[in-house]
Amino acid sequence: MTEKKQHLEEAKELSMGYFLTGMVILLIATLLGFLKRLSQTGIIEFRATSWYTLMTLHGMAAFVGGGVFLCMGLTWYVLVNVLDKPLHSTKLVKLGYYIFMTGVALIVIATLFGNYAASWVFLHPLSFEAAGAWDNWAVIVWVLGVICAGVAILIVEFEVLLTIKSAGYSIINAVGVEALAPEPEGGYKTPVVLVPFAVNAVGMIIATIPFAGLLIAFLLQGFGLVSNIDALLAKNILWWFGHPVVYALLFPSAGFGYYMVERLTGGKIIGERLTKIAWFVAVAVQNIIGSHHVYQDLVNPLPVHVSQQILTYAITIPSLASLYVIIGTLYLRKFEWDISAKFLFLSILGWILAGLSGVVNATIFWNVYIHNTLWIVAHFHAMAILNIMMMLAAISYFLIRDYTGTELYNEKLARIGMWHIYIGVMGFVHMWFIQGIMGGIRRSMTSTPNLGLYTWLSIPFALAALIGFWLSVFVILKTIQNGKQNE
Amino acid sequence: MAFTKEIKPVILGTLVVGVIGLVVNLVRGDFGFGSGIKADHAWNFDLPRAFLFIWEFFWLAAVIVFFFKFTKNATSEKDEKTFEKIEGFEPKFFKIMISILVFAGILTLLVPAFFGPGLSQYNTDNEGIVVNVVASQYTFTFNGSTTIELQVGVNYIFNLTTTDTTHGFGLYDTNGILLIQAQIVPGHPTNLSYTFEETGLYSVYCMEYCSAGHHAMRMNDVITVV
Repeated sequence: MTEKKQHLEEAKELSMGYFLTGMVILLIATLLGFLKRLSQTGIIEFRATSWYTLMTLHGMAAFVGGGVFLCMGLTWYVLVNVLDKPLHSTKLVKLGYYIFMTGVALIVIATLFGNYAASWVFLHPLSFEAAGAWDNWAVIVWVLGVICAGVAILIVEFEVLLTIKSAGYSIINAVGVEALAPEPEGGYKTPVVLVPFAVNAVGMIIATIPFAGLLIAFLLQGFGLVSNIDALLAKNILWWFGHPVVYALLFPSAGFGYYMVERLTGGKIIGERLTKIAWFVAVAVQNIIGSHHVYQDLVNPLPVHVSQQILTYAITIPSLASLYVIIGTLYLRKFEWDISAKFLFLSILGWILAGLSGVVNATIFWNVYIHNTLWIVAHFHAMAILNIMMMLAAISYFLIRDYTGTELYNEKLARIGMWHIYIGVMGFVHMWFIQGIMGGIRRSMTSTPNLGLYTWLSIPFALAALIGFWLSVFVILKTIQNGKQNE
Repeated sequence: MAFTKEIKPVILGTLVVGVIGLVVNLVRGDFGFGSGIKADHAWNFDLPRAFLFIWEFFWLAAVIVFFFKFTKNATSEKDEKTFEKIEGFEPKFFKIMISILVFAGILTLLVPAFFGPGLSQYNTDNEGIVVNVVASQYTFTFNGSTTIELQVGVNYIFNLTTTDTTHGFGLYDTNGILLIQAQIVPGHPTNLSYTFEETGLYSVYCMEYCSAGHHAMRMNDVITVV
């Protein structure tokens, strides 16, 4: 086996390990989400402590568990293909995986056995003010689990940067700095596909450090060594990390989009310079906009609130750039509407919708009407599924076909799955938008009065999405099985 | 050993623990079938909410139209002229978009009166009658009582405090419209100013998840405005 082929095979193995783990976690998370929504109709019933436990597990599993695992798996695959060089250290990639899985196991124990249910954002001091819903040991286990996840994130993000560096590229240029100068003869050195990965890695490393400090303070409080952590400071630090952690999924998704467009069309994406400059804006602001989550904390200083709106508007620039170049390149060049192209295009449409609903959240005079309502739930499910998950599905079909060396088990079934997911999610997300507009409160076991109709209407859509997701997983697993049989 | 084989016991082990935990939880959680809730419905709209509704569904319709337009015209190689047109438009696209963002930013920060409180919600120095609101799992008290009578046209300063964790103060009118809200963070008393414009019964709901009784922290018709 040639050296090149060997490092590609190695990366595929690691990618598939992360990818399959993420898929298993997501399978469970989607089921929990469906059960939660079903219980809000009253068709099935849970005791409150169990409902909120499942809510906490669903959030953590879907976004931080499934999402991060899938994203990282696909990141290894794209990096190796774009750089045409091996990963910097497969040992680090494996270490990150095992630490992450330790975190997953601890989180499962804290929630399902310890009834820990402070939601995946666990606003301080809720963990220690549970009103008897869970015990202190569950808090300690949860915090240890989240610390493991944080350490794993640090490891894998460092690995992303080290891989880019070891392939001979400058990190400074990889975050878009080189585009501040006019394009040289022969083009920029750094492939544009790398930029979102580098920007995200830098952002996550910076954001994880203060969050780690907060987690250690929680741990000390859990052991009774500290008693007075300022709740407002804790909240601001939490969102310092909590907002960029969304970018740990969104930014790589943009990178996957660039990669697929170049592969589908067989040419470079248009508008490289402006795209890189847009990403450089993201480097500057991604770590300082988390406080837009606390607009309704009136005690935060006014200049903070105002600056958050301006900076959050600025973070739309890389999204606008990505949408323009992906749509523009697809429009200009010839390509085949295969399953990946279809998922990619639907993801772009989802991105537009999710982004525009996010503008509402970011705008202070609207935020007062939708903060902590189901509008927010609708926004992040639109972003997480209609945009990010659709993009991950698109590139996963590349990975699966490359990995197995075979065609998809059944492309028609994959297409049926795709439309079930898209129409299903679009449907139940819009029921949430309506409920949110009319003041429906999020993170609540029961529907807000007068909004029960929309909860009922969302069920067929949620069921369609669940069926679509499981169908897609079935197609992927069968393709892998066929690939193994061919070997 | 291949990584995908190496991690099999890890995934299976975690799954087994998870499934056992889930079963334990469902059994312990009195899981069962219910009779279903009422599919009740009311159009709780005012001007800002109508705007939000139009915003979301206008863009949904626009995206659907774009989907059909794009899929009709894509997949064919375009000529050089179209290439130049699309690539050449990119800087203009950015200028237009950034101009819209700047304009919208200024408009929404400085001219909010049409839509609601805007930045004025952060003005904590307003003069008015103070109402002490204490939140605790899972109730609110108003000047020490669970109900209160207030007057229309008078500016009230709701002094919000909590005895345990973070709560949210959400003021709803008789029709179920969310009028105003604020977070109540432990150790940080918060002043929220509001003048009632209509008489009637108002409700206060907790807007921040505050443990397993959060959904029950909804106090209907506790403020009577005369």
